[in-house]
Amino acid sequence: MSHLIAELVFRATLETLEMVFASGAIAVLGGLPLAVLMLVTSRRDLFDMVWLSRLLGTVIDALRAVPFIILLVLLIPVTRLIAGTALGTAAAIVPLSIAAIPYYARIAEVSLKEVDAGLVDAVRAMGGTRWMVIRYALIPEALPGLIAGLTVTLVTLVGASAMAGAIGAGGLGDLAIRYGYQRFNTTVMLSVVAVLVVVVMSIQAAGNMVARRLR
Amino acid sequence: MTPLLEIRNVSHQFGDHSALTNVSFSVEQGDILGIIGRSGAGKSTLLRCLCALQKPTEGEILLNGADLVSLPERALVLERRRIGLVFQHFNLLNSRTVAANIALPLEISGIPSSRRRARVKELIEIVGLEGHENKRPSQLSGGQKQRVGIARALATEPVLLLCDEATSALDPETTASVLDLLAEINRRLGLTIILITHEMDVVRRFARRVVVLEHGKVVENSPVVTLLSDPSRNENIAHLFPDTLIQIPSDQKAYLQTDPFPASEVLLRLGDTAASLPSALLSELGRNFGADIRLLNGGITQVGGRNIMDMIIRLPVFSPEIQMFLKNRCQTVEVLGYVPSDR
Repeated sequence: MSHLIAELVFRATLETLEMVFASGAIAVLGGLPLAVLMLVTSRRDLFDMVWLSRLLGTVIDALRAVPFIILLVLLIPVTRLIAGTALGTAAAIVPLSIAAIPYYARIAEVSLKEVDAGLVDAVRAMGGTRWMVIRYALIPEALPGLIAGLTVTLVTLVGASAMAGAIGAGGLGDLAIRYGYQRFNTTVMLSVVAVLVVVVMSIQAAGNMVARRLR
Repeated sequence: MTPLLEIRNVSHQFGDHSALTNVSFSVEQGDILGIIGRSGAGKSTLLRCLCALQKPTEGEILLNGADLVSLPERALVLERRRIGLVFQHFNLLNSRTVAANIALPLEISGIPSSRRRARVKELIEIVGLEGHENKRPSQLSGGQKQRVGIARALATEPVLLLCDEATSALDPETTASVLDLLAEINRRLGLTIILITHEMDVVRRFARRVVVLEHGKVVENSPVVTLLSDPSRNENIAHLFPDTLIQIPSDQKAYLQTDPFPASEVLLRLGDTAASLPSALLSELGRNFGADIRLLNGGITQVGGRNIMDMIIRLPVFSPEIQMFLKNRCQTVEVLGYVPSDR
C-alpha cells in the first residue's frame, strides 16, 4: 500500500471518529433527557402525564421511521442553517445527531423501564422527591444498560457516517465510495473495510468493559 | 395517651373495585401490630396508604396528629422520612455498596456526610453486618439483604417502622433471626412496628396485637393472645388460617361420632391462655385416674410472651371427676366427640 493511500485512510478514519463521537455525545445529551422524560411522565407515581409520554414516543418513532439516507437529504436545509454548509465532516454531524437522538432515546428508555419499580418506591418512601428518584434510583441503576445502549448507538453511527459519505461528508465511507467504488481501487476499499471492522470492534470492546465494571 | 397512628374510616377504590372499606384501627407508641390477610385482602393497598405512597379515596390516617391523606405532596415528602419501610424484596440499590444503601435516606434528608458516616457505622452494628460495608447487595444472602433493608429503614430514626412481608422471601431460619432483630429493635429503641404478612406464624411469634383483613375490611382487631385462645374468635379466622387451630388428626376424624357408644373413647380439646410451665397436667391426670392418655395434637406454645396451651387428647373414660379435675386446671375443656377404642 502506497504512502499516499495510507495517509488518505488515516485522515478519513479521524474524520469518521470525529463524526461518530461528536454525534454520539449529542445523542446522549439529547436522547437521555428525552428517555427520562418519556419514562417519568408515563408513570402515575412520578409525573403523571401520559399524554406527554405518548406524544414524545410518537415523535421519536416517526424520526426513527425515516431511512437515514432520506433523512440526510431532507435535512440539508437544516444542516445549512446550523453548520453553514451541507458539505464536510462538521455538516454531517447535524443529520447524524438528529438520527441518533431518537435512536438512543428509545434504547435508554428500555433500560430505564427495567429499573425495578420497587426501587422507585424505596426512594419515595424514604422521603425522596421525584427528582431524587431519577438521580438516586433510575439513572444509577440503569447505568450499565445505558452504557450498553450507547455502545450500540456508536456502532450504528459508524455505519451511518459511512452513508453520510455519499453526500460528501468525508470520512471512511466517502473514501470507499470515491476511491474504492468509483475508481475501482480495491486496495482502498479493503483497507477501509478493515479499518471499519477494527473501529467497530474497539468500540464494542470498550463499551463491554465499562458496562461490566459497573455491574 | 393519644395513639401514634390512627386510621379512621379509610376506604380505597380502584375504579369500581373496593380495595379497602371503612378500615379503622389505631396503634399505640411502642406496640407491635400484625396486619394479616390473604393475598387480595387489601394488605398492600393499606400499606401503601400507611407509608403515604398512595392516598386512599376516603378517610384519615393520623400520624402524631398529622393527616397523611390531606397533606400536600411537599409536606408528605417530609412525613415519609419519619416512617421506615422494609420491603419483601429488599429493594436495595445494586449501584451502591451496603454502606451507601444505608446512607441513602440520610443523603435524601440532607444530612452532612460526616454525620452520615457515624450513623451508618451505628446502624451496621445494630443489624450485625460488620465487615460487609463495602459489598454490593448482590453479594449478600437474603437474610443479610433484609438486614441492610432494616438498617436503611432505621437510618432517619423513624417513629414508625412498616414491614411489608419482610420475611416472606426468607427461609424459616432466617425469618426467625430477622424477627428476633426486629423484636430487639422494638425493645431497645421503643420503636413502633407494623408488620404486614400472610403468615399467621409470624404474627403469632412476633406481634402483640393483630388486625385481620378480609375483602378490604377489618374482621378482627385484638391482642394476639385473645385471638389465638378464644375459640369463638378463633372460628372467626379459622377459615382464613386453618393452620392457626390445631386439628384432629384425619385418621381419627374418620371415626369421630358426636355421642358416646360402647367401647368408645373421648376426644377432648384443652385450652389455656396462661398455662404454667413446666406442666405436669397430663401425667397428673394419668396418675390420679389411672387412665391412659393419648396426646393427638398440640401442646404449649409461646405467644406474645405468654404460654398458650392448645391440645387434643384422647381418654378411655370421661368421668365427672376427670371433668372436674380438668375444669380446675384449664380454662377451656371441649368435648370434640368419640372414637372407637380400637382405632
